[in-house]
Amino acid sequence: MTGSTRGSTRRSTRGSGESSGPLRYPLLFAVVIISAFPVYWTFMIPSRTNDVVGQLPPPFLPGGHFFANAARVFDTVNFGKALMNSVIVAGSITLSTLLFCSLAGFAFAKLNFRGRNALLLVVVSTMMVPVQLGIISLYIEMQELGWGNRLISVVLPTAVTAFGVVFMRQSVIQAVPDELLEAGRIDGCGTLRLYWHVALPALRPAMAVLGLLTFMQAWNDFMWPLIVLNAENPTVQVALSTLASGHYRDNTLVLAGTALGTIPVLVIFALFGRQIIGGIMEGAVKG
Amino acid sequence: MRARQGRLMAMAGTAVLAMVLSTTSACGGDDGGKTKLTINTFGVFGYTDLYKEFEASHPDVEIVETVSEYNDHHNNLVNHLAAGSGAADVEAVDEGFIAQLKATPEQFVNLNDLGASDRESDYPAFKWSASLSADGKTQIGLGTDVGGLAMCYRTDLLEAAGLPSDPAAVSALWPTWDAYFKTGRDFAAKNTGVKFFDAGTNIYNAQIFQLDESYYATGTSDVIVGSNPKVKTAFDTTAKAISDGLSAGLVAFEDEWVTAMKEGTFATITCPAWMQGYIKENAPETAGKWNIAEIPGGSGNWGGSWLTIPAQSDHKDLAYELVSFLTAPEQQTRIFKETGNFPSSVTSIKDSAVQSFTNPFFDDAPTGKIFGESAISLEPQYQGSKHGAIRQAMEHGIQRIEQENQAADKAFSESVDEAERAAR
Amino acid sequence: MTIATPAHPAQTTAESAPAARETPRRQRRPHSTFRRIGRATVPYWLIAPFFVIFTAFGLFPMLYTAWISLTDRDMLRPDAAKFIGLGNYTDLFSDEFFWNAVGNTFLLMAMSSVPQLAFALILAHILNTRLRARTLFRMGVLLPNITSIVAVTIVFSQIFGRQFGLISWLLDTVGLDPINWQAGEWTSKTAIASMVIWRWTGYNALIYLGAMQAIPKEHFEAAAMDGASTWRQLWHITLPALRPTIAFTALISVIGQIQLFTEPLLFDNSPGSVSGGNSHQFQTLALLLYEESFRLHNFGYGSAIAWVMFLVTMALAAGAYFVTRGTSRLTGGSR
Repeated sequence: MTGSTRGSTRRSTRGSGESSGPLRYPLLFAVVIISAFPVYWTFMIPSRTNDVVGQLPPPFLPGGHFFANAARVFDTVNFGKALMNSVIVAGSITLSTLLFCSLAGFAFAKLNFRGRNALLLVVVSTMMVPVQLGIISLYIEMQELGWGNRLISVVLPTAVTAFGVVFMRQSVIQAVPDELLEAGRIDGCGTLRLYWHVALPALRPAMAVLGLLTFMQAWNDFMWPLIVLNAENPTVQVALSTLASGHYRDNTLVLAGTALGTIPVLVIFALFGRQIIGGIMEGAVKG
Repeated sequence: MRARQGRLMAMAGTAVLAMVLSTTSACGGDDGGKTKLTINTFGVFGYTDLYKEFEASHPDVEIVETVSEYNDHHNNLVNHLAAGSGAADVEAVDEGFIAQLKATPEQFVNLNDLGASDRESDYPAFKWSASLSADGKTQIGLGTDVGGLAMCYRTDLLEAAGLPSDPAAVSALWPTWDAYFKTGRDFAAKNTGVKFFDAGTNIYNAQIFQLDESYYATGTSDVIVGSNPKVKTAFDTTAKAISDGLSAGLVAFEDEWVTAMKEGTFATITCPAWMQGYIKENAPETAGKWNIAEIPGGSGNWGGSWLTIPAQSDHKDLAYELVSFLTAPEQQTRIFKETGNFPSSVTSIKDSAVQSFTNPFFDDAPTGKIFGESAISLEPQYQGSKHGAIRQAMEHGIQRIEQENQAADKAFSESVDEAERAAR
Repeated sequence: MTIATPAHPAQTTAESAPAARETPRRQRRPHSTFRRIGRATVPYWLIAPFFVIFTAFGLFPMLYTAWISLTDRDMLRPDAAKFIGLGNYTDLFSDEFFWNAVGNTFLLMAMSSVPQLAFALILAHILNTRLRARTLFRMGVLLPNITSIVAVTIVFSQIFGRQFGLISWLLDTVGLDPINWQAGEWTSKTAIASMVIWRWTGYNALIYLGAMQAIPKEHFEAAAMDGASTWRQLWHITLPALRPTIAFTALISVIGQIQLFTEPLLFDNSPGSVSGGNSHQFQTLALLLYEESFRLHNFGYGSAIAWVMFLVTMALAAGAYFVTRGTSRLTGGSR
């Protein structure tokens, strides 16, 4: 096997060659334009008025009505509450995922306990289980618990994920050397203090990546919130689908809502795009 | 690198916190200890001003209305009733779903207990009984409006095709559906670039709602959609009209339908009273270009709603105050004048302000007279519990003919299969 | 249950195909356990939250769904549920709507996964050259992935509108008839597949890019000296090395497609319709599950659909596992 070359493998950061042809920049620009166009559209249409938008050809340049249309969104659906709900849901899921997954990841990576490998295998196996196929029972369960239409029913099922556990285990193995833990142990630290004072600081970059990905995924989640929440207590995505399916399909209104719901992830992406890309390229991301 | 990541994390945390704070402060202010009364509706009820009046007389109440799409609204209601939570304090229910919902009267507040029995004499018998439980004890809703049928048309577009535009003359053009379709073929022959009607489903549904019996055998749960020859006739005549090129092929209530209404690409549209509100609200710029004639083929009722209070509501008494305020005869009169939704209160129907009302949006059509005559004496069609789902399956067939050129017979048999499956 | 292995790329690639990607140096001591710490119960407390949550909201619902699938249960009258054995399953297999949804699901899967992965490979190959503004390009291609599916579908539905859609207008300007995208058997699937492709191509490209950068540079240098063009290098060096990664992305993509829900739900232009078009021409299994359960209230029947979907997913995952294992053994053996 290639074990001996593993450590010395040079990373070909400069790429395989420069001679991909003169077409590569035009090609890339085309791809980026196709990628960005619908996002541009989401922000451009609501900056115009409906009578302009209804014409052919449609407008391609922004106008000055974005804030007027955005204000209409808040009048039409309970969008303020939707935004707050989404922040609460995605924020809680992110925090609990980071905490519980790093704890479990730390245990699986560094602690010795009976049944560890078997339990790890169980964790990994559950990643194959498409949880939303249990939605009918989950729905019944949440009603029985009295949590129907409450945010907790959206938060709890994804409060700690197998993917996060495996991801954090991998990160602990990579980022927390045994020597450091030995040293801490000699200083008299207990397991939890080792986790807190030794492992956690070293895990910050990995936790940043996991946190960002978790937040964005939770923010964008749709099917389960649609089923378990209602129009008075929606997340942003549920509010958007209400908006889009109302009798008055009013493009500037619907897309103004869509734009508002997209702004938070765009901000995160603009600030942390490099980290997110790094996380994906590390192959760390489950689709 | 590590320090940088830490800073990024801190920034992310701050950003999230800032968002939480900004949204809470944005939403927190207006609550101020007020009781929030929620109401879920669909379509155009036209209540916005009435909410303000109610809030003015109840300073500690805030009304929050959520308007959803028709099918979504009713399906959500059913799901929330089954779940035991999630329904609003007041829920509007359309005629298409009232039969299904009154089958579980325990899910609703019995309005008779809160004083609704006093209102019985003010409703036409059919309207009162349609929302009454089978044992006659529980009244789950108070009526808001009825959906008597008429035909709205664009005066300018009929004139452009050399047809009369005066309501009496237009009504005389189409005493029957056959005459209506013949007028349509004459209209199409003029090649004005405009289609005769908007969507096959609206023409088909109008014919269905004129029948004494449609998808269910009266008083039973027997589905007769496939065996009732009158359903087949309505389907086939609609299919023929489509193949004659009379339909704009739009999907009713969808956004291109709205755009077409604005742009005037169809000349006539089936007008249950509540459709006036849709036209006015969706295409305000067409004011004065419309008028209203009689519906071909005799009277019928399509739609009309009730306001109900789910038993799970935390504010039942307050909700009833709101319901009785919104459905009071004088409010029904007012809504009729503003949106066109025709009153379901006998007092209101007989009110001279309604009887003599002419709607300026529809070229001063005497809508009080047009919709008023049949409203009191109406013999409603019996509807079984899955009427709504069957109707949707049949509409799919009409749309397949319009959009995919499917043969009428195939479309009908496929739709009947789908309908029977949905009703199983 | 080792079929779980391909779910994690780091594992697949680092453990079964080491040469396929970079492996940080520290990981050379991966499984060394820090033996001396850990009192008897502490580790169990640390991993308990996962198992509690999964049991309560993952495992239990799955098993309970299996039970419901053996009953005739109306959502509105749970007390009247009665045991009917495999009745729902036998009904399912003779239900033309079910087979229609199966066909649609698999067709959409093929129509979106194959182009998506092919485009992603080409895109990764281009991104893997010496580029100015590298990060900007990478962010550009990933942009679709961070937008929500709801947002994507709302925008695409307008772009694919029949009379006033952007594409119909473009067709019109070059003298072609507008297309009623939603009505057609193939046009509707094309539109939905394009949403999926748009959203996932860049994401997969970045995974491939990560894997490509782990290929030792010498391989390319040797090939370049032999005069192999860059596209020949893609075919002869990159592709074989990327095989496990490709298998992984294919599996993830396929699993995602089995559950395709939001796009067909929101693409339907009939107000309030959840049937995936007038002829159910784009009704997927997940949409049928939703319609049966939450519109027609047949919880028993809906649960049977859920279990069939689950079993199909498992079968595909197992298949992918064996394919991957086969390939990685091949690539391992050839070195």
